[in-house]
Amino acid sequence: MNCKSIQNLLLTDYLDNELDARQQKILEEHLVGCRACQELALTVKQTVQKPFDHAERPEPPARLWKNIESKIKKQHSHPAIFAILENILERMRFPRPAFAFSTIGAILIMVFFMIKMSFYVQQRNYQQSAKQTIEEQIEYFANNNGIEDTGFGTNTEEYFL
Amino acid sequence: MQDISREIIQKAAGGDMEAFGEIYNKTSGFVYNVAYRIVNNKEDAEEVAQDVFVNIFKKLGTFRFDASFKTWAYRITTNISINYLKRKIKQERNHVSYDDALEKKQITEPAAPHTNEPGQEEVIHSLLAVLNPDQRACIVLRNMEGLSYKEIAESLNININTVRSRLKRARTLLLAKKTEVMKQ
Repeated sequence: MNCKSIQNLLLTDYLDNELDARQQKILEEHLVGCRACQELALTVKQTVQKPFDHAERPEPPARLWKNIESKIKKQHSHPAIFAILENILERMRFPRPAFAFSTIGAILIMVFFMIKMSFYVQQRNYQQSAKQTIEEQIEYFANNNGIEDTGFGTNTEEYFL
Repeated sequence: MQDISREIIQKAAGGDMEAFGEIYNKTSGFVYNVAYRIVNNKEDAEEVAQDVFVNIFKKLGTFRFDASFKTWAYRITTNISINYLKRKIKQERNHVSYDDALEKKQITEPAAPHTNEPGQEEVIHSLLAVLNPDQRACIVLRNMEGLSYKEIAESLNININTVRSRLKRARTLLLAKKTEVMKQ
């Protein structure tokens, strides 16, 4: 075995005791005669294995079982509803691109229509306001000239003659 | 983990919560530990562990007794943990902002103790943080749960050589990380 194969095994099977007896013997014989591979073996043990030895195993919090029980009971009582709700919540929590884009598209269309409606209403208000102003002006001028107010637009000829 | 009898599994599959409670007591230790080490923070681990057990309960009826229950539970745990982490990473990439980065820092990094030497937990946390979800799962199952390559392959539903290559890649990254930390 060459150093490259040995070094691969030092990072995998040798470190994890996955070598059979024959492979183990060959590797250890190589290590005796190769300083670079010896050093790598030591570094790998110190760096990659030792930090995880006797690592803390945190206990799950007591509320975990209560939450699991509660969720299972809810799903049992309304299985179809919960499957659908779960699906929707899952999509909303982590929306897939297509779902996200179509939602954004729908919102943009709604916003567009709302803006257009508000412009339309505003324009209508302006028109009505302008019409009222014109009517008032005409009434004013008609009164100031002693002309009887006969009403705008009802008898054009009478008005101008 | 003590063995779980076929009778208990069948009772739980039938909806018996007491039997399922027994399964929970025997498996919650490693389920929570694997979830915690893969997602690398306790708040997310709790959510993942909850999903795992709800899933196990739903799928108990499909368990065929042809593989060990422990391996089956590991498979569900690693699948859900890895998928959760991948979605979280993707979501964070799409919504990067100062506030998010600050929140992520608070969630994923434990409070630093007032010592010069990092504690073991901090070292483990920083080592696992350099690995992608698939590499992290392999390191956790091997170094922390003590599973053999065959068991890891069954749990992750991958080829045994894929287990080897992920471990090799992960350990190369860990060596590089440790060298960088020592230089600092």
